[in-house]
Amino acid sequence: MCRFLLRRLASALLTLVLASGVVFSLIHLLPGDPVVMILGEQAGADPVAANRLRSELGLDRPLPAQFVAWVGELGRGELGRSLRTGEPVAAELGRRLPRSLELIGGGLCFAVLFGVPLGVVAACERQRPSGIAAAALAVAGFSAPVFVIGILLVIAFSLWLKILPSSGYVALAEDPLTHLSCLVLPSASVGLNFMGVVARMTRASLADTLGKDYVRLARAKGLSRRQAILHHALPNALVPVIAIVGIRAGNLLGSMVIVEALFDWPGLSSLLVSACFARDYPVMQGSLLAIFAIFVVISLLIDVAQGLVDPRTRENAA
Amino acid sequence: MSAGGEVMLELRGLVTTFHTIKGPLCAVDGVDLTLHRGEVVCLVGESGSGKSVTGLSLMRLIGPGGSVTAASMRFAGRGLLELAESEMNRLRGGEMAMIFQEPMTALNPARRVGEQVAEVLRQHRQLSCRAAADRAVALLDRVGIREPAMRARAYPHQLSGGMRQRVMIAIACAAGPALIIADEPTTALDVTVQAQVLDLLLAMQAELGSALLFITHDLGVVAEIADRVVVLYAGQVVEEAAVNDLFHAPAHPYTQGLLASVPDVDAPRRPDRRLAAIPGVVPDPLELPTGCRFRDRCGQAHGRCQTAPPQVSLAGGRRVRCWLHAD
Amino acid sequence: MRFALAPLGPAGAAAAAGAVLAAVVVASLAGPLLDQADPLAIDAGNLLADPTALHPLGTDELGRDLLARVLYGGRVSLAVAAAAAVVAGTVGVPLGVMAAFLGPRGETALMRVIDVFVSLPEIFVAIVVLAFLGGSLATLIGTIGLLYCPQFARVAYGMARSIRAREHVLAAVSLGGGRWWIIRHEILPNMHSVIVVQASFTFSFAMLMEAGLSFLGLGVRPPTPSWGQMVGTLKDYLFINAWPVLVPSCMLFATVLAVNVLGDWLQDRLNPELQR
Repeated sequence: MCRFLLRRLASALLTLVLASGVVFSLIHLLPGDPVVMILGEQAGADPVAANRLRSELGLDRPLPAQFVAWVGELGRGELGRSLRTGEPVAAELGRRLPRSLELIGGGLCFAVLFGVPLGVVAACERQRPSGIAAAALAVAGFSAPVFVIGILLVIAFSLWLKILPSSGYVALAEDPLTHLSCLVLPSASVGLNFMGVVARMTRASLADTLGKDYVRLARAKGLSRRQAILHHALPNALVPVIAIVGIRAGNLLGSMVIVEALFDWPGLSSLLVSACFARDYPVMQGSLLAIFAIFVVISLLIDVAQGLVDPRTRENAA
Repeated sequence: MSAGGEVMLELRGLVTTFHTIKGPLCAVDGVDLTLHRGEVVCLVGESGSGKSVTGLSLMRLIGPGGSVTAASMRFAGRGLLELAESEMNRLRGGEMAMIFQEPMTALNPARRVGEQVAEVLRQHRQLSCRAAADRAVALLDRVGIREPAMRARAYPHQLSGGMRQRVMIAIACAAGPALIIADEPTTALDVTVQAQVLDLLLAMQAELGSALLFITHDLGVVAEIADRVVVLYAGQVVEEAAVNDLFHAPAHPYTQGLLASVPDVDAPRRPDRRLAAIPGVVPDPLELPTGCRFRDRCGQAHGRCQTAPPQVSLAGGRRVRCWLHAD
Repeated sequence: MRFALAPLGPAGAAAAAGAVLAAVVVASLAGPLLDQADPLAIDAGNLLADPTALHPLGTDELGRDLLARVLYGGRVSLAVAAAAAVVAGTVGVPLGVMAAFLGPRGETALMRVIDVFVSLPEIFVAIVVLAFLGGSLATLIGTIGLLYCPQFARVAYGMARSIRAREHVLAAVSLGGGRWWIIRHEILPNMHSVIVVQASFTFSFAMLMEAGLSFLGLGVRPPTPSWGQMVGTLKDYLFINAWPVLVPSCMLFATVLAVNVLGDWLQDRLNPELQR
């Protein structure tokens, strides 16, 4: 198990390095000169100041050198300062990271808590109305764009029922209750969409597992249908579901972008978007890297979970 | 090998139909079986003859896509088809046990084998987890698995095919069943391992005094272990006899063809000798011929075979479904 | 929905989905020609109005006719998604097929790189690129298309590999068939079904991606309408009148749902042996 974990950790680190390379190249190969952005029109009028700023920011060195310097700074935890506000990027990231994680975590819990039972019903009651309705719900959930779900939820809960706020954020420390009520709709939007993915995979996987011989053996041992499904079919059926959560973790993060914009949730994606509009390079790099890091960590956790659940995965990898 | 004794299983007129897209498929069409305590009955047939389906129907393990009916299906005096599902659950694994053909797929790949044996004990003997685990190790030892305590913690893919089938036997015998249905338990094994597993199965059966319904297509195995033989063709019983009677004087042309097609090692070798095979193929269950189902392949078919032949009782408790013996 | 269509079976659901999709496409293409209302014309007296005879689907925040905007927007959204799918396929399929002939080392390296790209969330890259390069339709289509070509490449690679390993292809190679010959005569003709299905999935992903980007203000820029962009603007007026924002939302939902149902059915019919 330890060997498996170490291998996965190494692989994750490698991906992170690759990702930071992607981030770096992306931002530095795009048109637009940050010096011009900062100084505005003065850049043309005052070349001396422009060049001084350029060398200050290290932009006059060759790209590979800049990359190495950047990675070095990363290693020290130094992410630079925002070109707009002058605030340290790391601090802002630290503030926003937990908020985005809450959103993703809440959405994932929602998706699993609703998606797995939905998939089970769809697989076990295949021909009956309850099963067909469950399957339809799953397809609807994953086909609906996240912001459509969000808007429908806002209309239902903020407009009509008036029990939940449609936007805004209050820190947990300040007012836990309001904080949670602000969190519900955004994570539900993420969750309902991902629930469709989870439910579909659960249904397909369980339908496949129900036909396996060991489920039949479980019945031959005298277990009731419910016992056979719960103890033998479902645990094995959930293995590919865990895998699909890992593969579609990108979906989850993508939903996060939309939801943060829809609900004015001050997380990492909204930081990224505003930094993009403002050409704030350090903030862009930092937030993009943080987002990719979240993604890599999620994938790592999924791999570990798979290793725990399926003994054969552990052996194949190690 | 003791015959006689009380009747454990009495089956009359079993009909199992599957609802397929192309229409109803009758896999088993009027099968009768009787098993006595301590008896070994072999159910013989080719693939598609309905022998596995018969076994599953007896356990009421046919899924929602099929329906099982019978004039009478009685186990130890109780009608099986009338039982509620919960009562059937109590019988399955307890008084009635089944062994499947392919142990690699029949065992749960994600659970340790000891746990899978212990599950039966917890279910039917109401043992605590600890007691069940200990008893499971004892059972694994009984079925001839060396270092049972260590092996009990193994996963199925870590064991050889023979060991997995021993585990299956342990699972089946854990609660001391009165009826064991074994669906081709040795077909997927190497020949040397086959012999060992067969011996084990017979030893357990003798110890428990259970009735054994052994489903197979291997006549060699039948000759070794059977007390009585039931031959199945296209979902119907075509012959039933004591093993010696069947091998020395097969009554139905199909049985004769089967026995003739077994190569004889001791026969003098001649270059023009070919393996005697039954011509033709098993009929498509969706398009069965009218009358005798074997007539297209039978060398002795005649006019009367256009109508379904009756089941004829012969001397010595034999039955044949053939016009040739109907006089 | 599917529930109501269930008695018809999966084929019935697919047929219904196909009908919905066809209706959307036809309406988007033909509608603007038939409909008299101009998507850009402002009716200042009728802001955020509910459906009336004059404006069958109501008006938006600037008084523009929603029906016209939805139909025009449909053109844009559908066209962008289709074009992006074409780009993804045109780049991805040759890449994947070529990768199958690189030899073991080249193959592993290329597929590793592609795996990294497939798994990273695309929308972030799109956000960064579009913020810098502007929102012209060409840029949008190119960006989305390129972001989805790794998926296509992976599918094409898998298919090419399995075809290459088939016995009759091995026989052809042993008779002296060169790489290009094999690609032209064996691999490409057998990839149709896989490509078609992947294209349908890519189409729905691209549609959602364009909608999301436009929603954020980075995709199709005003005044050109697109469904996602309309949702993005109209959502701010939700509390005044919820109806306008529902119009483009439902169109998006219905179209993506139809494409997914069709894609599933196509997958089951054309490639039953592939597990998704």
